[in-house]
Amino acid sequence: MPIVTIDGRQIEVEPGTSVIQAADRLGVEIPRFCYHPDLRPEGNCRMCLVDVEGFQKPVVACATPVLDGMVVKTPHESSVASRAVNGVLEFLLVNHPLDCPICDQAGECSLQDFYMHPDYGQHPSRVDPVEKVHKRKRIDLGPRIVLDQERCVMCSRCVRFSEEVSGFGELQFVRRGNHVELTAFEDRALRDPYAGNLADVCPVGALTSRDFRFKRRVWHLSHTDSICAGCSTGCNLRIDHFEGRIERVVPRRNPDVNRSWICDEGRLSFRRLAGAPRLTRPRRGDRELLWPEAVACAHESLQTASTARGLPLLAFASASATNESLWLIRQYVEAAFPEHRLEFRLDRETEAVAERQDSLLRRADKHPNTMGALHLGYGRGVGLEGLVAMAEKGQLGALFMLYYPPLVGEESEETKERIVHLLQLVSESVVLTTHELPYLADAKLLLPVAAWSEEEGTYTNYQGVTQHAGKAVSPQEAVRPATDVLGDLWQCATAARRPTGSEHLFREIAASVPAFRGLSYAALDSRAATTYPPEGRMHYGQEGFAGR
Amino acid sequence: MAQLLTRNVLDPAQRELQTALRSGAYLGFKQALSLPAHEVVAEIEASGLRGRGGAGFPTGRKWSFIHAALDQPVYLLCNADESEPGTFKDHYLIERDPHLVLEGVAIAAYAIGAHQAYIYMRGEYASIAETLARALGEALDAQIVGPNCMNSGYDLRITIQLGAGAYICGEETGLIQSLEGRRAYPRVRPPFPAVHGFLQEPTVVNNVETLACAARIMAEGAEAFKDLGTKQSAGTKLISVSGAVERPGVYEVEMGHPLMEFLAHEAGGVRRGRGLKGVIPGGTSVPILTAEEAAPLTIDYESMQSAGTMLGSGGMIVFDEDTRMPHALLRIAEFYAHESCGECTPCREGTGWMAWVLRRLLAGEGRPDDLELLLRVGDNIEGRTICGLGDASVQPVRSFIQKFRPEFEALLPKEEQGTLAWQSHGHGPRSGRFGSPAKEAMRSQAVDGPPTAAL
Amino acid sequence: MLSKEALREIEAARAEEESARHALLTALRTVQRERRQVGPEEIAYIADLLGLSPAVVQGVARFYDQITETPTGQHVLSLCRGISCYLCGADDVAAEVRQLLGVETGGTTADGQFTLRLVECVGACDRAPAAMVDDRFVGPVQADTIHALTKL
Repeated sequence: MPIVTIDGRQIEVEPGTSVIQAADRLGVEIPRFCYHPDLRPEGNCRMCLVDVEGFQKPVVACATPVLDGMVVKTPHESSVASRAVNGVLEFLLVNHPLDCPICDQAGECSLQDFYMHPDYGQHPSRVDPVEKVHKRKRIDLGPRIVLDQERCVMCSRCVRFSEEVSGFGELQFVRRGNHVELTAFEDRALRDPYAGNLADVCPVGALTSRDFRFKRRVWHLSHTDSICAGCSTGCNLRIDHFEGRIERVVPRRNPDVNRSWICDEGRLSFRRLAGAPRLTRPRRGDRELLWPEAVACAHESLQTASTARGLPLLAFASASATNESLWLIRQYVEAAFPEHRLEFRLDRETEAVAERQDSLLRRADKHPNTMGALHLGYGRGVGLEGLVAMAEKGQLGALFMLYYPPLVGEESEETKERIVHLLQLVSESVVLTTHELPYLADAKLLLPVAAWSEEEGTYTNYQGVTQHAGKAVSPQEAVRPATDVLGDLWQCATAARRPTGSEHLFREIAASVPAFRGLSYAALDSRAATTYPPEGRMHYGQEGFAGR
Repeated sequence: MAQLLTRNVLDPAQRELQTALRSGAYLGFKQALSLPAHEVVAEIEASGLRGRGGAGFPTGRKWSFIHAALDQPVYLLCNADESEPGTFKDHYLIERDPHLVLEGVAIAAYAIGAHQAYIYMRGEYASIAETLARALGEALDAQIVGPNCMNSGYDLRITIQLGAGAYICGEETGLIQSLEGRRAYPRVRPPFPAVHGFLQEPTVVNNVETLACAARIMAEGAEAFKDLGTKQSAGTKLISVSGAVERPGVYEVEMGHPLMEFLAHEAGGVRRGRGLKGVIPGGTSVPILTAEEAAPLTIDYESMQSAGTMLGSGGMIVFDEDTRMPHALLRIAEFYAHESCGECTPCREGTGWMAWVLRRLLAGEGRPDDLELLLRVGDNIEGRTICGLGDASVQPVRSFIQKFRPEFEALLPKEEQGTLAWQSHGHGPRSGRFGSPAKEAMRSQAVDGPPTAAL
Repeated sequence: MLSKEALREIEAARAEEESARHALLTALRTVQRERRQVGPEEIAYIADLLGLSPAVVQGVARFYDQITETPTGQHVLSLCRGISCYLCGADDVAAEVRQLLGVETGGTTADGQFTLRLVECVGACDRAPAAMVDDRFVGPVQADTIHALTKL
């Protein structure tokens, strides 16, 4: 396999690896606009010019395959490369409007960052502003994207995404030379259900997210790595939040799961959390309870209704629950109820789990953890429909339920009716959930639990890949993570305390459940994706300023 | 004068197959078909033929790069996009002897194992395409090309495709992109067309004149071709001469022919008896020669190279002593700015910038360091672009300024005015002053607007 | 929108070529010839005909000089401004022709007969200053040659 030296550091790579890929692996920074690891290389921006020993002129690192013994110098080490890249940068600014102060890309703009870099930026301008070619600004391309043609550096990442990845082909260049413009035909609203990615791939402020722009300067944001809970694909994403509020969600790259993309539904799924009133306090009928009372009440009433009457307890957890919650429910139920059933199927999750909704990422099963539920021994019985039938015959003693409303799409009317019916049929029901939902109103006892992004845990996607989702924001005061509540219930049942930290729970799972053997949080995180943005944005800001 | 390609061009009937056959058309193709393909490639390699489109790459070697898997389609593309300013040789060759071109196409296709060839002609040549299409129809009817060419068992389909007005389509990968129905954005290399070309399959792109030479080589032998010309430049070259000459036109000369003799005799000398100021030997993309530099040169690759220029397309443009070189350069710079496809950064921004600076110089709005700026911008384009258009745009700017510098310096402002007029620090709307009437005039002039309004 | 003949031409290109996209250049040329423009309506039509996204069609259409966004006159008069024509007085001719026809570059005569364009080197430098009337080369031209041509 070829060995290449880049800025004095060596790496062995597979044949066909490009210089930029090798450099990325070494951690040597090469500036770029058009290169993106999940798009076909085009070599148009010329920012990644490097100096290769024995080559007459600088070559683009993105389209130059590594040859054995190649010695490459980047602008950090070579004045030839540095001059070349500086020249390119100057060209990119010739017709750039330089409206950084009012541009919402500031803080994550490659052009801005590269200009601040002491190795190839910070040159004085040789262009009079009046000489610039002007283009259109603030073009509305529907609910997701706003286009500013003047800020476009013509890297074509969005065009390639639109043509090659989502296949909609809604963005194209028109005209020639320095009059080239990025445009959508007649400014039509983009129909692409993945349009949000266009703002992510855009290295500058040409395509910005309508949903996020001007909401928050990016340097104010805190970041938490997470997993999308909108369907069984389990796209890797990052939650950007500020003072306990989620401001946006962006994809993280994971070549095995979602590459660098997420769908718009997943991107906006966090909005669902605020879309209905939250359940804020434990409640039995009209009476609000404090937690200790609520937990004791829950355990006792379930015991009374099932074990005491010799009827089985139905533990129902939707497949949007984390593996850790599912595991703890099982622990609790097995400890306290000799007769029980574990179920998660509201509909046809097991059939739909790998079913594609489109050719890219979206899947028919809108639960992030169907595979986890299966691995953890749920769903070996008759499903919701069968359980309703059992309840009708009086064969169920009580219902213990952990339910999360879907973050993408809606529960079908049929499913809702079945839930209502089940709650009406059983004599006792304890439901842990996140929101005030009409179809749960018949539950005897409601316990508020943390929603996605408010608790830590793991989900196992349709491929069987288990992934770690961090806790980004805190739930409201009386709302507790499901695992905490379950730990309390377990204590009621066994009179013993147990650790409920999600990492500890996962260790237990890994030790007992074959499908999880050998896994740990540390292993999951190291396997998981690089951080957003996947490519092209390097943050030199501080050092750049300090160096001057 | 050596007559290889232009033997029959004066006879209007040459366009008709019967006449063409009487003059030996398709004998070369017949000869090729009697040989295994690799021997045809070897014959072309032995002839020393180099590409006539501008780059001068050895044709036989280009063909030998094709290593297709069994069942893998291979394509031959004939580049008839001739758009290099001052070049019109292919125009006349196709118009006057279309069968010679078709024969060359057929030979090359056979040699590389292609069963589909495209002749890509610039959109402006629609009327010539009709002539070529008629000839192709006749050749098909006579079963010279098409299925089972001349009973050889070799099948070849030839398709004529017209462009729609874009210089970049003459760049080989731009041509491929255009033919595929895309914006003619050239492709980054590697991979080269010989590996991933048209529809990602192995592809050879050859110029019209190159293929016509191949037809003659197959008919008359590599030796006969090699006997013509010089050691490194075998055969003849079509020279299309224009500009300030008495007899502009297309002439065929043997490689090695003295340049000044050509200008004096074939081209009829500089028009109206004026003195020669300069000559661009091979289309605007190669550096201009002063009269003095041109004097000792001969028309061939190596002589031109020795003088720091290129034979290029053979589009010879003559400038007489009355020519205002900065104005002429602006015209050339505007051409490149207009024709830059806009794909890669240095060419997209640099060509427009160079034209802008020249325009303001000529509008009396120049700055003291504008000539340096032009040269630096050129340096930043050259060698940094996806295709050759960027490099090409720099050659005239650099060579004109270097060789006719006093004319450009005369346009610069007197120093005391200059420093006041322009401060080159920082950016943003606060820097510099702007909005003078002259600048507004320049601003209103789009690249594709009237070319000389600011003059 | 198109004549049967034009549709046949596009269909033929489509049938002959590997993909619909491949027939796009021919489709654009054909539509330009028939409709004397490829504006939004034509773009949507071609996109539909070839099963391509209209943005893709627009991107290609707006790459080429001979495909126009707005309608041309019955005929297109293209004056070459290539370097060789420039050296032979093309600028003066262009100025005179503008005056003669009473239109600016890119404009169409009041009677809708001629659209005046200035074009880059058309490859007929021996006739400098050269011009094209539609697909026909003429030259060397002077204002009165053009005058005669436009009165035909």
